[in-house]
Formats: sequence, structure tokens, C-alpha cells
Amino acid sequence: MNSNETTAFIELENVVFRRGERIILDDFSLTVPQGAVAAIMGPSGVGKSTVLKLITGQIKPESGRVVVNGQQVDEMTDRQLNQYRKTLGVMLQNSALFTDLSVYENVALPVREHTELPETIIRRLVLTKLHAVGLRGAIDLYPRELSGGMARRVALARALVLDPELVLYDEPFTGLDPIAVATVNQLIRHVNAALGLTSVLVTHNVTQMGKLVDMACIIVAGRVAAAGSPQDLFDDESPEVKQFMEGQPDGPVPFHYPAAELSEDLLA
Amino acid sequence: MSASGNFGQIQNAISSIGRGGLFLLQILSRTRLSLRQWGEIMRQLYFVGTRSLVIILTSAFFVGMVLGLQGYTTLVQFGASESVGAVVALTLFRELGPVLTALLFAGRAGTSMAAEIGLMKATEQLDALELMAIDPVERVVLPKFIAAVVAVPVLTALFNLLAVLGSYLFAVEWTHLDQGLFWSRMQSVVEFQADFVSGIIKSVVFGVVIAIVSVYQGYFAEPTGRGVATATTQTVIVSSIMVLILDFVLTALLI
Repeated sequence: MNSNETTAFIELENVVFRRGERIILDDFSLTVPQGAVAAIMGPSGVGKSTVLKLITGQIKPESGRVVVNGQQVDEMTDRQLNQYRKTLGVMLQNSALFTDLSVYENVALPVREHTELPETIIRRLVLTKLHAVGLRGAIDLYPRELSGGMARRVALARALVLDPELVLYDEPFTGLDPIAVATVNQLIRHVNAALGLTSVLVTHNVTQMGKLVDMACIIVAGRVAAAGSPQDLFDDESPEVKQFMEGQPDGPVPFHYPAAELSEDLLA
Repeated sequence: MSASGNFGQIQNAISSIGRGGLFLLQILSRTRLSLRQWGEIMRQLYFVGTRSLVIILTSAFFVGMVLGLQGYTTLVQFGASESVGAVVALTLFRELGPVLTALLFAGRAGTSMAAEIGLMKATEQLDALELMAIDPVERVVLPKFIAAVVAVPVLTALFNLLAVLGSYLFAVEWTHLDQGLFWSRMQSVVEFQADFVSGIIKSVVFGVVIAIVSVYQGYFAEPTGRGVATATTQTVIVSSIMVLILDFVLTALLI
């Protein structure tokens, strides 16, 4: 982390978000310092991706504020959101590469859309980013020809091609083999340090989180159950945090979605 | 079905017409005269227009042959077989050309537009565009919409041409009708403005309807496999019904 680590880059203040009747985030607050790699963790379906969507401005909170780099995201107009999103890099869960464009064109797309750079410069930019993720040799391949890990790396190159200030990763390790997990982990750390970014990742991979991040928070029941350095979380004694960190099937976080008694359902 | 169920369906139908109208305005507001956008429109024109040529032209040729056969068989009983060209041309230019082209286009190109947009939504590609500050309506929807609106009238004109050729081949080559009579009767009866142009005006309206229905169904599809399947089916059903209803309305207005 750099010397600005005390400056907050992302601040979610008392955010409430509902999906229909169901409350997803309930008085949720989170601060990510500038230059940090932060993880948002928690059991599946707890609202981790919702936090990312609040940060990108895809959804708005019912109450509370979402502030990124001093700008209040939830009050932005469409035009302001567009400007803001040019400073973001987002790597979505299933990579979301454009299937009818080659690897090269996928990475070049944001540059072509937002700049008037000549083709030679675009080519240099794209090749540099693809080289950083180890896929400079794959420029002519199409997304259908890539493995899951390669697609993830192309998505990372595309997220970084315009040198964003903030990069968001939604489940960057899901479905990857151990080598690809280690590579992506290293890449996230490396680009964060080299480009002076702030990074936020949503994950439930406790091991990788421990190796990668400066700070993490665990969401349980719509609130932050614990936040701090990975070591703080490993040392946390509260039962729901302990259950999550140690991967115990039994504990305060239920495995079953709310339902009637099994005997009632089977004998009905 | 209960009365409340019927009412709900009618309410849904009316609200989707409203949403479709708003979506149309949103699409039109994204029209730019940039070179990049025109390039994409040309690419889409190739996909929805050029690649529909085989099915449209083949159908047109055989429709023309059938019309020639039916027309000749009926007219010959009244000693008016030389009018077959005129009858065929009037039927085609006013009705069959625009309507059949629109129905074939909805099945061939409308479905592929809806499926492509729906699949892009299901695989988060539209989200990815939005997150890169690229407007998915401007980048993905608009070029397909404009390409479809341009393609339908052009395909209709080509349909008319091939169908007339089909009927000519049948009448002149098969039944040995005098070709001079075939063409001269057609020329004296068919009016360019009232028959041909009114058919093309219809096809422009059909083009707009199919284009908006297809992109709307794809863009608002449920992002699942079944959602995309429903969107493609709905595209054919809604486009076809709207084309046939509008055909009556336009005929009443233009006649």
C-alpha cells in the first residue's frame, strides 16, 4: 500500500438494499482505502455481488450513500455514470468476452470506443496488456477457443487496458485450476502495485484471500460481520466469522434455505 | 381461463406495446452519424439482408410460379389468359410481396437478432458493455434495428422481381402465352405509384415493426436458456400477427 492508505477511496455508508421483499444489505457500511486490495467475502447469496453493483452504479441503494473517489455514485446522472465508468475496470464472473470478436479485438474495444488513438498505438497498448497476462500469443483466438483460465486473463487485460483507477473482480478464482488461481492471484497483486490502483474482489476463496489482500470484510445477514486484515479475520472469535473462515458446515450460518420441516414436506 | 387472467394478459400486451414504443424512442435517440456506427450497420445489413436473400428469392420464384399457374387456370376459362401477368403483378405488388417477405424475414432474421441480443444478455456481454461506458443500445441494438428497417423494403422489391420472373417463366415457357401480351397487359394495368410504391410503403412499416419486436424481445429477454428460446418464439408470433393486422389497416388507408 502507498502512503495514501488512510485516504478512503470507496465508502459505503449505511446502505440499505432490498430485492422485492427480501432485504439484501441492511445498514451496510464499508471503507476501502486508496491503493488497497480489498476482498468482500461471505456465504453464497449474501449480497457480495450486490456490493459490486452498487459501486459500479448498476443499482442504487434504497438509503445510504455510495462514494467512490469523492464522487457520490448513487446520485450520478447517466452521463456522469458514463464518465465515472471510464475510470473503472470490471472483471465479471464469467469473463463476459464478446464471442464474435477475437482476443485482440476484445481487449481493443474499450480503447477504440473511448479514444481516437491511431491503430499502431492501440496495437501496442493491447499487446502490452496481453503480454502482462501471458496471452500475447493468443491474439487471434476467439473466446470459444479459450479455456476458463485464459478467458479470465483476457477479461483482466480488457479491464486494465484503459489504466483504470479502480478494478473490481467478481469471483476471479471460481472454476480455475490451481496454477491459474496462483497466476490470477499474482496478476491482481502485481497490477495493483505497478499501476497504483485500488482493487476490490468478491470471493469465497479464504486461502487466496489470505495470500492476496490488504483488508477484507465478511458479510453475514446483510451486515459486515467482521472487517480488517486477513489475520484479524483468522483471529476473529465470533461464531459466524469462525464458521466461514474454517469452512464448518454447522454454525450460526444455516446451510439450508428456509423451509418447512423435512418430515412435513415428505409426508405432505 | 378466468376473467382476471384474460384481463392480466390484455394488460400485459398493452404495457409491452408502451414499453416497445419507449424503447423505439430510446433507439432513435442513439442515432449518430459516426463512421464506426455506419460500419456496424453495414455489417448487420449483410447478416440480416444479404444472408436472407436465398430464402426470400427461392420462395419468391415459386410463389410467382404458383400464382402464374393458378391465375392461368382460372383466367383461361374466361378466355382472358393473357391477363395472367397483370393479375400476378397486382397480387404481388399490393399484398403478397410485402406480407410474405415480412413473414419470411421475421422467421429468418428477426429470430436471429432476438437470439443474439438475448444470448449477449444471458452471458453478461451487455452488462460488460455498460460497465465499459459503452451504451449497449447504441452499440448492439441500433445497428440491427436500422439494418432490418432498410433490408425489408429492399428484399420486398427483390421478392416482387423474382416472383414476376417465376410467373413469366410459367406463363410464357410452359403455357406458351405470347410474351408481348404478358408484359403489355401488366404494363397497362399496374400503376407504379398506386400498386408498387404502396406495397413498398407497407414493407417499410413492416420492417420497422419486425425490427422493434426482434430487438425488444432480445433486449428484455429473461437471461436464461428458456428466456432466449421464448424471445425467439415471441419474435415470430408477435411480428407475424402485427404484420397481418397492420396489412389490413394499411390496405384500408392506401387503397
